Amino acid sequence: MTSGESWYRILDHTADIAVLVRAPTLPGLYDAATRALFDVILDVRTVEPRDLSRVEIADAEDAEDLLVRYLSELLFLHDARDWLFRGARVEAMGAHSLIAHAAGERFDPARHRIERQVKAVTYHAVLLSEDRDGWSARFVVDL
Amino acid sequence: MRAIERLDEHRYRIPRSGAMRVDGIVFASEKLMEELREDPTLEQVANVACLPGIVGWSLAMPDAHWGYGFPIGGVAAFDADDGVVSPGGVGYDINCGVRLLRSSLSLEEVRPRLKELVDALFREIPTGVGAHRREEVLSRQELRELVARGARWSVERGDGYASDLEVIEEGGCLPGADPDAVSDRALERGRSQVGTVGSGNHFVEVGVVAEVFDREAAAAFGLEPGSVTVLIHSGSRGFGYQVCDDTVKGFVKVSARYGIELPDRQLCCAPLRSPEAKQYLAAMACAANFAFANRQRMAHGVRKAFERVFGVGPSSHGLTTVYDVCHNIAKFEEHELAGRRARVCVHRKGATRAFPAGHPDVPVRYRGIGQPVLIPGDMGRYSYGLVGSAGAMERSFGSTCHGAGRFLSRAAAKRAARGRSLVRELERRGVAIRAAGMATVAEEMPEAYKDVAEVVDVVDGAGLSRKVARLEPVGVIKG
Repeated sequence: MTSGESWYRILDHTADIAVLVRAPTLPGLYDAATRALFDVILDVRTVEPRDLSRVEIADAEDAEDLLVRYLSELLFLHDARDWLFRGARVEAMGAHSLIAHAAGERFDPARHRIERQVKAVTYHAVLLSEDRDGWSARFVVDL
Repeated sequence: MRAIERLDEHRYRIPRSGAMRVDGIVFASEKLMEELREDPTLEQVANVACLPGIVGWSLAMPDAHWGYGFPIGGVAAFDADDGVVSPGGVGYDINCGVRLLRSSLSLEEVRPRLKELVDALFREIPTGVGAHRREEVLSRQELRELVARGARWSVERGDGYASDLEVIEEGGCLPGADPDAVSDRALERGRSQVGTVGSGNHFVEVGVVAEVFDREAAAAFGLEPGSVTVLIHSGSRGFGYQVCDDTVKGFVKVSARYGIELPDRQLCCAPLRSPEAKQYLAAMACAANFAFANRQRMAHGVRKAFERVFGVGPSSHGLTTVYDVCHNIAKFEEHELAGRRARVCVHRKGATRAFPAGHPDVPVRYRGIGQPVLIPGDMGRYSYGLVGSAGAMERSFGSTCHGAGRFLSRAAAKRAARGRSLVRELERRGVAIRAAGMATVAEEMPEAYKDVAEVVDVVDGAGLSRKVARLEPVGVIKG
């Protein structure tokens, strides 16, 4: 990890997994959080950014709620419609809303080996904050 | 760290302090308590004790471990008038539960064709992440009917028998289910997932009755020593996760609107008399019914696999349902509190109902014995059949434990599995396994779990339920 770059770390607790994400900008944080979530599900390097899925969130309670809603939306697209994502570009963002384009492709059994199922992104101990070096977030996923 | 008092051999008390409205009580042995002291589970028991309308105690079963908001292995009852319902107190996998089938086949008869049987089960029941039934996608209307009616819907479609329904908690249909309370997204996720196991700790396990502790109860449950059993552990799949997700999102605001202070967002809740709570309970009942239908469909798949491999009909294999329990649920029940009957909403998150003999909700055929309680262990050692006892009504709102609980993190389990062939190791222990992914086999290896025997000994010793039989696995399919 170098200063000015995005990174994430997957922390494995006894029963569940917490993800720490850091990025210089808030859109960068969403991009890294997208990759991190799917890295829990499979080796995210095997996902090609072939298509974009538009994700729109409105009426979030606060910054943390916005992040959880966004990631939950990706999870829905994954479980119901077989999407896998490896990053995202934020088009517009407000305090309670967001429009983003998540980059990825549909699940292909020939190239993707799914490692584990994420049932949900929880609100448990969720954090999102800014300091002078950039943005960081923490979220816990239910497996 | 919180002050903890030992009450007796199997109970510890977290005395009421700060915003706690009741004491916390943890059922544990000294050894299990030592492990619990290390993690935030006890803090979570105390947090639940702060919620409005909680009555009696905030409870943790001996298999309790860290969860989101509520601990896994947590039980809490809320006054029907002044209390709350919390989707986090039920969990994402609504009506995750266990079904046990018994058979009239002996292990000697099954052993020679065990591998074939496990393969047949693996073909019959989709497992793993994103397991779908591409050939069996329900229409929106069919799914709405399924979630309104539960296991009966499956039986009417030809998946099993009406006699199965008599031995499912709530008869396989939780009342109050309203498909209009469910989002389109939940319906979309659920359409192709009926009859699928899922991944993680879910499984279908062929076992054998290895030891009987209570002959009368074992005979009533049809568990003959040496006979083959099948245990199914699964829940409401993506449908239930979406119902919980949809609700938790809204409930953060709802809690604030009703002036409920939350020690953790994941504890978000709504007053039981509010329209928001009623909507959640109606959607939760739909998810519970999805899970009942899901296990019913899989149980039928188990019968078909046995019939195909052994070339026999239903009367020869004798695969009948012993019981089917929920271990992630909230339900209205009547309990005695300080000498008076009270209607409460009992949340069991990673805990099993354990009603004693004579209780009107115990199926007629078991009413003289008590409700069967099914406790899965890890895939290499054993699982248990128990029976509810009167102590549960006095001490735990008619509840007991639900399983073993993890001991190692997934990463630690994978490290421990490196360089080993777990499939071969399990085969040497007499367990044939088929899994959708080898990562799951490593993460779910037997050493990754606590010894379920320790957990079961505590609930037996504390009088919450009695040991009836120990089942040893011989074949497993996993996600």
